[in-house]
Amino acid sequence: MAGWRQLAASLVNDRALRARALAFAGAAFVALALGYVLPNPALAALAFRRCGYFILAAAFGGFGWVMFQLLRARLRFPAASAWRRAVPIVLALGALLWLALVSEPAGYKVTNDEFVLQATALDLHLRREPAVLVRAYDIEGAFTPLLAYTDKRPFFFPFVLTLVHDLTGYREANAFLLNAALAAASLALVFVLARRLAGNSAAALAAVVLWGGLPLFVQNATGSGMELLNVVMLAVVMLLAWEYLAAPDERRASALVLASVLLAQTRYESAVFIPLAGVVLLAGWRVAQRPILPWSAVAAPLLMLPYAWQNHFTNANRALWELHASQESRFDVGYLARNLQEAGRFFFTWQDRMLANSWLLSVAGASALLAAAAWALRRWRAWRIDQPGCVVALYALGVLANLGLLMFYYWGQLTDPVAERLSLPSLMIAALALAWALGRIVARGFDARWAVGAAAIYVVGVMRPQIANHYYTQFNPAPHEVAWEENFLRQRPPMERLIITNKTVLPWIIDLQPAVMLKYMPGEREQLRFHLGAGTFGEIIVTQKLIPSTRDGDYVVDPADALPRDFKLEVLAERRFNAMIDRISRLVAVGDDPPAGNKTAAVAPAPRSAAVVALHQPHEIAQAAVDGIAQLRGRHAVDQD
Amino acid sequence: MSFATINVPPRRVLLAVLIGALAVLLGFFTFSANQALAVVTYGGYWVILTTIVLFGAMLVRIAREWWRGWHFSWRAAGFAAAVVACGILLQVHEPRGFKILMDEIMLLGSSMSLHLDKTPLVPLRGNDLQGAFQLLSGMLDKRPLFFPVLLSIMHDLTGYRPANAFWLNSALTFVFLGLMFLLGRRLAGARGGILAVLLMTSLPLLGQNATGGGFELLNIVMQVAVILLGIRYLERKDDLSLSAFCLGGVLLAQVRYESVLFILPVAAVVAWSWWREREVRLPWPVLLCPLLLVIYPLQNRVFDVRTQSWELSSQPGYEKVFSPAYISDNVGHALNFFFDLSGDAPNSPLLVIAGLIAVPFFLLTLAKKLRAGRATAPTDVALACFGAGFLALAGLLLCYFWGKFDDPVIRRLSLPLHVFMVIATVAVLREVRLSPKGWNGLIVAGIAFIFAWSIPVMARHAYTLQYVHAREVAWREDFIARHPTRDFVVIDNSSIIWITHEVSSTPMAQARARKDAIDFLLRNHSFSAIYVFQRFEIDPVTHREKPEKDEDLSNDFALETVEERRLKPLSITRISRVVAVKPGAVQPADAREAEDFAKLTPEEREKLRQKYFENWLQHLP
Repeated sequence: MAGWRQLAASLVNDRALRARALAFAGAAFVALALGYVLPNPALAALAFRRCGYFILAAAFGGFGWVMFQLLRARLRFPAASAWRRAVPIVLALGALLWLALVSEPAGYKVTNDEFVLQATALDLHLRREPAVLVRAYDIEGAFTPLLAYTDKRPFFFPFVLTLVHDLTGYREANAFLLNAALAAASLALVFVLARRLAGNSAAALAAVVLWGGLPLFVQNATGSGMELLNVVMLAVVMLLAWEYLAAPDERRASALVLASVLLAQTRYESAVFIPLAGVVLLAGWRVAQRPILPWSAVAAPLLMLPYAWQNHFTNANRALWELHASQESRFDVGYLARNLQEAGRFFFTWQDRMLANSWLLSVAGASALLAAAAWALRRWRAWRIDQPGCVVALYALGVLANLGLLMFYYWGQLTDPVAERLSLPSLMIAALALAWALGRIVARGFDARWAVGAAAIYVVGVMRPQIANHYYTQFNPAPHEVAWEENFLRQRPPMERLIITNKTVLPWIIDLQPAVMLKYMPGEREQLRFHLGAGTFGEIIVTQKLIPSTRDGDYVVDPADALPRDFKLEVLAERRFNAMIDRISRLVAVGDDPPAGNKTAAVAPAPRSAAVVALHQPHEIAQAAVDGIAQLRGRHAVDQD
Repeated sequence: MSFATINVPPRRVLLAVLIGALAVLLGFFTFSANQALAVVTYGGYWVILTTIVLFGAMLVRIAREWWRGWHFSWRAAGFAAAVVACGILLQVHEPRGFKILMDEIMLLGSSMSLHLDKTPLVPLRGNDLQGAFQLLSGMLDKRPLFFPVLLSIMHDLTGYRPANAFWLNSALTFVFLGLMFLLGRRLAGARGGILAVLLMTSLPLLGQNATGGGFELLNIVMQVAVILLGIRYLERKDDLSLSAFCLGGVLLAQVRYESVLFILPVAAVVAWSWWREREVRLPWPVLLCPLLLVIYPLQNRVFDVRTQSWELSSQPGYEKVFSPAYISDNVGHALNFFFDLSGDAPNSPLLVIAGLIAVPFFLLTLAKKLRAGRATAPTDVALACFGAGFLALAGLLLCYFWGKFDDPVIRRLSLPLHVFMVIATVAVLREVRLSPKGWNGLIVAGIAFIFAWSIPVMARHAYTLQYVHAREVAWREDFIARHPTRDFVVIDNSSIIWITHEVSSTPMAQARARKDAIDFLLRNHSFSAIYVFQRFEIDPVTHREKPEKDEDLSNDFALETVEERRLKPLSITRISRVVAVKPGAVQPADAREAEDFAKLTPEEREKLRQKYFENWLQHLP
């Protein structure tokens, strides 16, 4: 086998290869300069918004083309015996998918993440800009975007979602359909990987049953987040790396590189898999005994430019970090102890209805990982990255490194309903490790069907009640509040509406409904009065939160949601969510001048039957907690059209 | 030949004896009543699930064998079409709904808890606390667990909805008719099968239960399935058939209380086979059967803990649950039901006349055939054993204090006896050796009877509509459908109905006792509305309405009528909204703290919110 020195020599001596290597170095240099060095954050954001979609589209198009070529060469109509073997597996995977999709209603699970992704996809669909649409009006019959801000979230998921919008027409539900399809893909890919690791279908199925029966998987399969795309892309990259090392060539290398570029732009931390792709690429050189450097690898640094621009901009804008008031940095050793404690609780709690975890998957997976580590250490001299199976171990290390990094993150408590989903890649690796371990045991005569049975019993007996209750989803009131408000307004006569919301405007915008934030309305008195008088909107709707003011209740309007007393409101509906009440009112009139004085509002309890309620509130409304969207809007904007 | 010549595998038999002794010990002597209920609560699901899985595995193996020998024929397709057509006929004349109260709601409640917690508790309290409807307390029901577990599996597979009970019964209708065809064919050829299906289809009672949410369909499905498996076992004498037969018997015993009687025919068939083959066979699933039955006696301890479970108080004048003294009265009620020609009862005079004529001949024929000893045909042995089982069941029901078949709630108990009469009819017709033309004539007569009698009776379904409680449940479901947010609470003595539909509810007595809580919830807009579901009787002379017993909410509440219906003469059922708790009924709330609220920091407000939330929990109905 050629040594590294010989490989380097052939890279230098071969003219075509040398040109490509030089081009790669040039591209890397240009990417670094254009991505980080030359532009200031504002310029980086502008470049991201103007060019991001097209660069990602080029990467995606290239990936699609290479995959088409790869699959075309391999796809054969299966023989009858293969069909017979496949039918039970397909039925089992289909059953797992069915169970996942019927267990929770499709809806938003992690707010505001999922709203932001939807709004980004909408802007991509309407203007080809990866920005979060926060202001848009129906002007002369057309829903016209007016203001968007650059978000921190990598935008491969919105990109794929916008493709679905492009091909089928815009609708909110496309995000849920996309995730349902990704759930199917993830089950199939995990099975394929597990089958390769275990060398046995039953052992692989046992691992997939635990993966498909994971409440967190079910939650994301029925949500609109980017987590499933992340694990799907991770599995795709692992499979492509395996394929590449098994038979290294330019086409497989291209597929691996482009898939890695897309994976890196799925979630923030997935960029860690880019260096791993480099390691695999180089390992393939040794297997092939020649350097392999396709044009896609040369272009890869340039294809990563959107990530660099977005990262550059995000780093410069603390508002996007969403730090809590007492926190200074995103990563710190000070967060480690609590994060470790919560991670332990998340992974190894037997049954806690508030957690979307799977004790058996965590315990069996962790045991299998330890066994794999011991097995690898015993054979460390023979351990070679260029063995296809080892590639999974390499990516497992990448995933575990990400998990380790998360332990230093300020919002890395895995028991937090918003942070739980960050454990999905680790749990997928746990499932794969379990398949590997079962494969080793099967080789010693164990019948893996017992493992399938045990996994099925655990899923039916322990996971299904957890999934049936899905408290981890249901206890988040925000999506319920938004859904109730939308349903309530849908039942009213159709007309032009402006929503003044105490929450984020995004759920309304992605429903193509103009909306503005309540906290800025005292300053928009003139505009509101003008449009009330002009009849621009059939009605202006205001949503507010009522909170208990005593131990006995006596609800009052939350001071953060209060409006000046000359804003006349007519209460339309109220509904309790947890210990809070969500109120929908209609803005009836706005006074000429702000009321004198700065007195604290009486925050009077809301009489249910009152037709018109005057809410006398202080002008200086207590500022709400840091809200990235709000911070960027209007007079606080750092980046706007 | 005596039993001494039977080949007995000593280890297996010893193991069986030990397992049997252990089962008896666990079932009857180890646990106190409360411990027994705890065992059923936490282990019942798993035992039934294990039995279902084992039984399912046996059926899959049997189906595989059958599949290997199966080939398409237009004749078989025609029979299948006939079965499907009859099944559809039973489905289309009545709307799906709960027909027998509170039985069907209790079963649904158990399945709900099984789905959510894997514990078979009927939910007594449930509320939307933090965005999710949570069951807060429940009680173990007296009804055996097989149906609720099956229904909970359906919830697991498709998501929870009360209507799943109806869809399960719809599916079971087709299974039942298919099994009746197979049994009839076994007895008297394909025409016998068709006649058996037609006779069952002629019974409107079957249609009522096919569109309801009860466990009657599953009961007769299991009865016919076990008979068929018994015949298969006697014919094949293999371990697979024996295991399927015994596991089927175990499941049958756990569908309805009295179905445990059928353990005896199952045991008799197995004993007969051992005696005939001179060999005791005990495959491991059969060895497990006693342990799989332990749940039944343990759950039966409900009757020790809650003696009112016998519901003696519902029928004034009765002191014993079972007594031979009830037979004469119950026979009168049975004849009243069987031969009611008003069209208001879900009966089938044709089936009953044919059955009552056939049963004595059926018994005489079997007695004659059994004299052949070991040479008796397998079908006849199975029929003899299960015929005895059906007769014992009839005897038990006639000795039951509430065994009146003309009672709207009790009619359904006659379903197994109808099945028995159909079996007897077809078996006797086999002995008559009818020509094909004769069979065809009977089939035509059966179809004519269905069109002349059964369809008009089912179309009117007076027997369902006259049952006010079922119509009230349908009204409640309609009300819930019109208020899909389900963010209201209902004061109703049948609170379980609302809770199983994921609506908060509490009984009248609780509301009367907790006026302060109702006032608290009203003041704080905790629910979009507080409704009351009440029944009033109208005085025929004064025309004044008066709440029925236990339906009076007291004068401390101001109510506003929302909807009301007259579901029977001199009675009104009303849904009202609680507008206020009248002044003086509760202490006024102290509003002092509100004045300082605006000065509180966000942390202090959060603490206050938590205090309120705890207080709110205490005030929940």
